[in-house]
Amino acid sequence: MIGPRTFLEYQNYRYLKVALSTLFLSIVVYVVDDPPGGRSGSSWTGYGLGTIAAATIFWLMWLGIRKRSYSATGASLKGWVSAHVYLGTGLLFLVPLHSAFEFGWNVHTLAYALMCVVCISGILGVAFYALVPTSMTRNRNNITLDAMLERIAEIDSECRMAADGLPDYYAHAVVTSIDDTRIGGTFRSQLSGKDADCGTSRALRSLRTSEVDLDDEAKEQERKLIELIARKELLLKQIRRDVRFKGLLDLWLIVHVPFAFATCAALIVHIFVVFWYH
Amino acid sequence: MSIRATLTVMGGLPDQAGQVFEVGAGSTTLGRGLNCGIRLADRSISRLHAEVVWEGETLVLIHRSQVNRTLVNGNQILERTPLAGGEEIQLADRVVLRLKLEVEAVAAEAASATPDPEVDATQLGSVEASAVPIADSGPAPPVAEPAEPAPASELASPAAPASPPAAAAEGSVAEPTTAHHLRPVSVDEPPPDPSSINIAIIGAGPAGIAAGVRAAERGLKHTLFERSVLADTIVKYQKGKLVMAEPPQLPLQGDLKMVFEEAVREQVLAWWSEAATNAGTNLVEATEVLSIQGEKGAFKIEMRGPGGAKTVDATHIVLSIGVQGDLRKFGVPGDDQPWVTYQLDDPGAYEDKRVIVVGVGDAGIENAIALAENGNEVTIVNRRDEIDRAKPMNKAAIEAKIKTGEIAYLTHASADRFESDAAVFKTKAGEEVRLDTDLVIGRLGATPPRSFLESLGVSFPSKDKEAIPDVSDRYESNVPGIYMVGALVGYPLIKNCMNQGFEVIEHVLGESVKPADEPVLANKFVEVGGSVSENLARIQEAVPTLAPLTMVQLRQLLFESKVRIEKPGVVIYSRADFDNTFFSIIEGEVELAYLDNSDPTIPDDLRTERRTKRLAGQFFGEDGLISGRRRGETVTTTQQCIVIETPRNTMTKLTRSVEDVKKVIDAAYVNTALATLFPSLESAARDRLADRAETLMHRAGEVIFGEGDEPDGLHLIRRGTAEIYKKHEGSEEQIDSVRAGSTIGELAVLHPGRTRTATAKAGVDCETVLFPTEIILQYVESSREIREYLELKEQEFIIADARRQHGRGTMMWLQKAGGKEATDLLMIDETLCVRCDNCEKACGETHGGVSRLNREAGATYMTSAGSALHLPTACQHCENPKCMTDCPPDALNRDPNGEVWINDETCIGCGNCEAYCPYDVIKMAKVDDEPGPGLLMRLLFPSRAKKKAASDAKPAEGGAATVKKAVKCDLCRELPAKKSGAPRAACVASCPTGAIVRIDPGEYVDEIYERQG
Repeated sequence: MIGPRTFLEYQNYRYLKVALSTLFLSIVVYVVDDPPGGRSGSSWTGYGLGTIAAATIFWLMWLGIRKRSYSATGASLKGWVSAHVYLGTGLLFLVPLHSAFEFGWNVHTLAYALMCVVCISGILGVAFYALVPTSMTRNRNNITLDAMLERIAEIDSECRMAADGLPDYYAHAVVTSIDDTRIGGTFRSQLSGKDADCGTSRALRSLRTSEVDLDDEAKEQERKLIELIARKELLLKQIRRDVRFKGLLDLWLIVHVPFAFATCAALIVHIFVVFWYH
Repeated sequence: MSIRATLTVMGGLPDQAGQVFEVGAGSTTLGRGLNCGIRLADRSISRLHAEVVWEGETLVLIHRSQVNRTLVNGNQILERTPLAGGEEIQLADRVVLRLKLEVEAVAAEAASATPDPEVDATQLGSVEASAVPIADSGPAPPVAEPAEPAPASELASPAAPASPPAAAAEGSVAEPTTAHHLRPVSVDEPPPDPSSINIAIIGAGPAGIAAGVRAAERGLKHTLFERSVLADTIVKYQKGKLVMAEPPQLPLQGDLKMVFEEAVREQVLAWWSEAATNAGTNLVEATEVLSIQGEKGAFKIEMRGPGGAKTVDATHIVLSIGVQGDLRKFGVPGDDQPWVTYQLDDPGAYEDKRVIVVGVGDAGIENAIALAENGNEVTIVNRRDEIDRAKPMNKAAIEAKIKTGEIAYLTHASADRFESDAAVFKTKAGEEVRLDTDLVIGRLGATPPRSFLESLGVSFPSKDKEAIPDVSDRYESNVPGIYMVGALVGYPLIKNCMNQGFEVIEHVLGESVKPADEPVLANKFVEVGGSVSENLARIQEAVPTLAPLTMVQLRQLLFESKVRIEKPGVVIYSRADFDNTFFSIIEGEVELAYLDNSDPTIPDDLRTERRTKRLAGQFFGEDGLISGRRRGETVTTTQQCIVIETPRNTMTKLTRSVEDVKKVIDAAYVNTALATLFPSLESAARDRLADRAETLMHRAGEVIFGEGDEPDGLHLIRRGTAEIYKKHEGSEEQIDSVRAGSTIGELAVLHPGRTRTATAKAGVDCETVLFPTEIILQYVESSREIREYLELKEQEFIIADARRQHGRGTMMWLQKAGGKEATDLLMIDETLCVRCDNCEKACGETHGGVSRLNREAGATYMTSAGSALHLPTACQHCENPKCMTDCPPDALNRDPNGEVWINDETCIGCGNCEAYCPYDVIKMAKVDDEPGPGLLMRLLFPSRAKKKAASDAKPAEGGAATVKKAVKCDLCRELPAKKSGAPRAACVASCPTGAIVRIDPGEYVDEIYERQG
């Protein structure tokens, strides 16, 4: 196989192996070590694991910068992402070892809780990344978003021409379809992939329920108009699905990134508190 | 007629050095023996070493020695080889003789009747022989004869004893290679009396203005006629456009009182009109030349200006009319109505009008669409019913408007007459269509200047549309008294034009003038030593291919070339390199090592190498010149060498204008291609094959041969790509695509009597060399190697067909998606792509803010197993890059690894490459040299960073210099390469999920099959 492999498989799962062996070693040390006063975050093992965890967190944050260093040399961004995912997930288990499973209603556990949110949103992100792109490609069906929008503009102008000479009722439907159709909108409506009040759907409904008497030529025009609006409605569905998929791909980041910064802040407070009050 | 053959001792025999032996009729033996006709007293050679025999009009060399070898131009002769003249014949290890063939009697009728003798195509000497009349009349000035250059057709041409094989297959097919085009030569005449001179300079572009300025300075009687306004082309540039001064190393003639350097349009126009005014140039604008009669000293020029038609006299004419030609007119009654026009400057000036646009080229379509969008009622008229001359985008746009009825469409109609308020068209069926109208715009194309020039008697070297008329060293055409300069004779750059305008006036006066490129050329010869003229003379003498060039052409060739001195053992280029310069050897010797391609199943790295030599006077690199493909051979110097390295474009332009150069290069190509495919084939057999072969041109989409046809022979693709189709359940499906250097049509040769089993079509413009069935069959029967090769190709075909049945439509899709010419495809696995657009951002950030790739655009292939492979719109680094066709400053380059890149220092922003690119991957954009906003800025204030970038891209107030340059993917040549040596592409390196990769197109197809499996 010559083509690209996913970042999860990077270098034959190199960073999965790194993460697993680090965890394994940490567990061994944790089990073997029996410090005076019992296992705790304040033992030397605790400090050691804590340092590793904190360093990993800061390194994970660095991805935001590496991602934007476009002329960077060294490992590819794909490698960085691979390590980011595995090492980040490993923290979920490493940190409890560091704290010797001590949790409470304090800033220390707050840092861990925030980190958990980051990790879980990240795992969700990986899941979205695995599932959404294929659906997105299928939905796009070899047409770019720009081309779809262009096609809609074309349909709009065809509709205007088709409505020419028909009673105002039809012109009104066309105007409704053109003016009252929105794509996007709030993040929520983007994610829904639907618009309950879409002008085009309303226009189609009103065309189908029209009770205006028409002669044969006008009937033909009406049929043409219905066909155009129906096609536009299908295109709109396709576009809204595309927007929805794009939203899904971004959704997890909205949680992941701010919580990552929050984790960092809590982590700094945690370290400060530990050493200040020790 | 008879041919005189002589052999001159060139080396190895100190006592006989320089001795000339006459080759008698019948057979002449060569050797150490006493009985030999040509006795060569050296112990190294055999008593009877070789024999030269006349077979009809062909001289054939037969190797006779049992122990010592015979070589012709470095190639060992095992049995026999025909000679064309000019060859170096080496006997054993040191004795070298040079053959010269001269035509004694001149008989015009003999030319076409002469059977074409066989030639060893690699033997450059053939030019020396065939070019005798040219070489003798000599491009080197001053030459006293012929006193009057005569049109080519009047010149009785000696039968070319060595018409090269490619063009010479069976007289009935190829055009007879008769009369060589006679190039104008400069004739020494007594200088004319300046007071009697009256020069008409036609065309006030840079060349014309310079000529006008110089003529005025010199106090000559002159008039500068211009059909529009001074420097019309530059006037039409958009405001504030930067006019580039390329090539930077070329100086302007020092005495020319006309300023030009890189500056904005307005400044350049000011300089030039100032120059014309200050010198007192007699400029007549808005005057069009209709015809020219008379001869040198007494021309009569008929012209039409604001005051009506008139006739003016001139003793000399300088044509500097450029290449744009004249806009075609309707030429029907009533076309002088004020509302009949041929141009549309501002579509916004019309609203609610009834407009008729005639012509469906790009200009017509663009006008029609712009007018329709501005609320006019537009009808577009087509003489036929196909819209095939327009860009695909324009074609789609107009068809859409026609479909919706926004623009009315009239087909098969041409203008018949214009009445006071209506246009009348006549259809093919003879019906009249009368359309009321307010405005008619005729977009009928332009007549190229060629027909005008031919009407004056100016001759062209070939029928090629792109051929450039010849001029002598003094820019005089074959019509005495008519001089031509500038773009018209192949010099589109402003500086060249200005220099030539200056020089031509001096030449009219009979003054000698040092060409402006003298210092540049002198610089190139610093290491070689000697003056420029000595070196030029030496080159023309040493290199037969360059002998037919005029001195102007040779200077230009050298200006664009590199002169390289290389020590022995230096690799000039390596196999699979992608550069495609052409080399002429002035001195020394090189060795070519190419691969044995006879067995297609052996991987490249396991193939055996074969070697051949090329000597002084010969050339190498013709494969790249013809096919544009990767180098097929590694070239190493075996002696100290002086070589001229010429860019492919320069050489291509030259082969269009100088037929002889093209023929020799073509012949050499066929010979080498045969040697790589059938290594055991003797040189003589290769020559015979090459001799009977025929070069065929196929336009993109044309059928090369069809399924079920009677086979015509084996085709060797020398340029482009052929697509193989097979009928399947009534519809044609593509099986394979075959690239230059490979053959098609083997099956029909292997199974004589059968019809073609598949159809071959030219994927892009394509050239094939056809070896007719009856010729190739002889070899199939006798040569096991050829048979085996054909059988292996048959197996390949069967496998390809099986794949086609398995993965229906894959190849078809790839061809449609535009991968047919790619050497490097950017591919996105859409199942991994998370649409973050980091690839585009990376491209923009590393390339002055302009991304050269459009991720979303482009085609996607959905495999049956659920994968989706997407080809974003980005440069594919085509095998034969169309973009490189016509770049005036040669700013487009190709690196050995195949990347095609644009030098933004020398790009003048003319947009030619953008127009030529069939894949829409070149954009004209203002590239921001300033580093973009910093990383911190981008992270913390993304919106402000964007604003800064946007304001940077805007031109400053007051129309300051803004020049849009061509940009496209350059494979990130500025970034450091990877450890493996592979180029580091920012888009690939910046993909977080690894969805985007660069791959070879072949791998791409494999990948699709893999995923389907």
